[in-house]
Amino acid sequence: MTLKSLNFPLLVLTIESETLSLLADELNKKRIMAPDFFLHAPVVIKVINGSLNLDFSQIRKIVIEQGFILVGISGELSETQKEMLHAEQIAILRGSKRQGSKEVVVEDKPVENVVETASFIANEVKTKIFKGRVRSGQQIYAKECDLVINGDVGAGAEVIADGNIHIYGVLRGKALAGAMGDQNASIFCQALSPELVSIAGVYKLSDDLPPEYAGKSSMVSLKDEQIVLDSLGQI
Amino acid sequence: MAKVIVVTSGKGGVGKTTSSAAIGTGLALTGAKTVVIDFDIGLRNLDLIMGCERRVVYDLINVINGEANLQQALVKDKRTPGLYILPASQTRNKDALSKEGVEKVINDLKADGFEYIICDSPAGIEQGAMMALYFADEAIVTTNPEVSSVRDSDRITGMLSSKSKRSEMQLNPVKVHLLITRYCPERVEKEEMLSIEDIDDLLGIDLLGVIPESQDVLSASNLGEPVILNQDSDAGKAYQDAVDRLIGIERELRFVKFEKKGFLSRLFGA
Repeated sequence: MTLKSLNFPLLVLTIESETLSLLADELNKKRIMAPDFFLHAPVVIKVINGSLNLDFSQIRKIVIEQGFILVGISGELSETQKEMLHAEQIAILRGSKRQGSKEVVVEDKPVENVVETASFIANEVKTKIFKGRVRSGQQIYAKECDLVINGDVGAGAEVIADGNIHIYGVLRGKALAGAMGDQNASIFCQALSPELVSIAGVYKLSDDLPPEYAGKSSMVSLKDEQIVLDSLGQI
Repeated sequence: MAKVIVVTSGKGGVGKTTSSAAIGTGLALTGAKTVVIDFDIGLRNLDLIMGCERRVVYDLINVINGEANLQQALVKDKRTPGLYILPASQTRNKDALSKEGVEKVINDLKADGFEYIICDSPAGIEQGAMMALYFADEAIVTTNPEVSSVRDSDRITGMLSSKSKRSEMQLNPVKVHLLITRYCPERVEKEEMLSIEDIDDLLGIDLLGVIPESQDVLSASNLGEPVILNQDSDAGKAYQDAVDRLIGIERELRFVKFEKKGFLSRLFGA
């Protein structure tokens, strides 16, 4: 047995207020997007204000109720908060220096809790390639890499990648790129008629997508926290 | 080499049992010893469609539980030589199907010299349907030309490639065939119904046959006589074509184009 230090990708949820119902809402939103994918997913709560009076046992309860597992608390913690965490036996995580620069706090007005992700350091650049059609009810996940699908993604199917998603076929199901929070991730497909597209947690349903891209070869990306579409090869 | 063929669809009421009966009969008519197993435990229908309901004594669950042997439970078809039916239990539920039990029955049938073992799957994706498809070498996915049926077929095709014995043992994948039933060229023409091309786009499965919508199917079911035996009927002929393709004979697609009836043919009812 050896004890060593490794980096893991973790979901980090930033808390900026004492209203814990917002925390529940945010986790719930995330969970609904891909219930199987986020079930029992580890999550870190980051506190940015040491003066907040937070009930940590309640936080842990909410995280568990939403089907996630609380790994620990990070952020700028006051001595009082640290003591409370010790009493509750909740781990305090110190963020690494490398991760600091990549953190982005999304300012979505009504919601004060924002899901973000600590950066991960990929040991090697990989791409997961799926040959064939992804059928209704199937879920393909490319962990910490890009996903290439050589075939159609059927209605009711889900393709998820921490990186980009390339579909050489028709996208009729759900596609979630940047699942761990990479806002630069994009989705490319030869014909776009999805149920849902999501980049780094920002999502759009088919009804909300501009109709002129329906059935066309398209690129889905994130610009100023909004989903934007472009035609393939015309940028 | 015996072949296990599952007839499945996901969605209910699309014609699995009708197709199992017709294709089973068609295969037996080629001279191959064939059995059709009803996996719809608790809602048995196959015996009615094949007209042997009054001769059912024991059923699949009795055999699995060792309450009867295979020979006692197999019902011999009166019309078609070499055709047998293994009925479902009407009084039990689908949880009575165990993987080991089904495997033993299928192995015993193979040892008994059956060349085709047709598994008539229940609707849904639960235990009954999973057991019907688990041991399949080939699958006939039955679809009606409408979106919900097509989506369920897509789901069950995904199951065939991930939940079957062939996928778990990493053998050659289950060979999947598409059978479109209740096809109505006139309504396709009017764009009220998905066309063969639409369904191919959505599913991408090799087409085994297209059975036209026909009154003869219902009458055949009520008579308990598989529709393939009625070779005056378009549906019967289309099932025969499907059986021929299944055993490797090439057949042109028939009954898939809408032809307006001319004055003379209307007059003489051709």
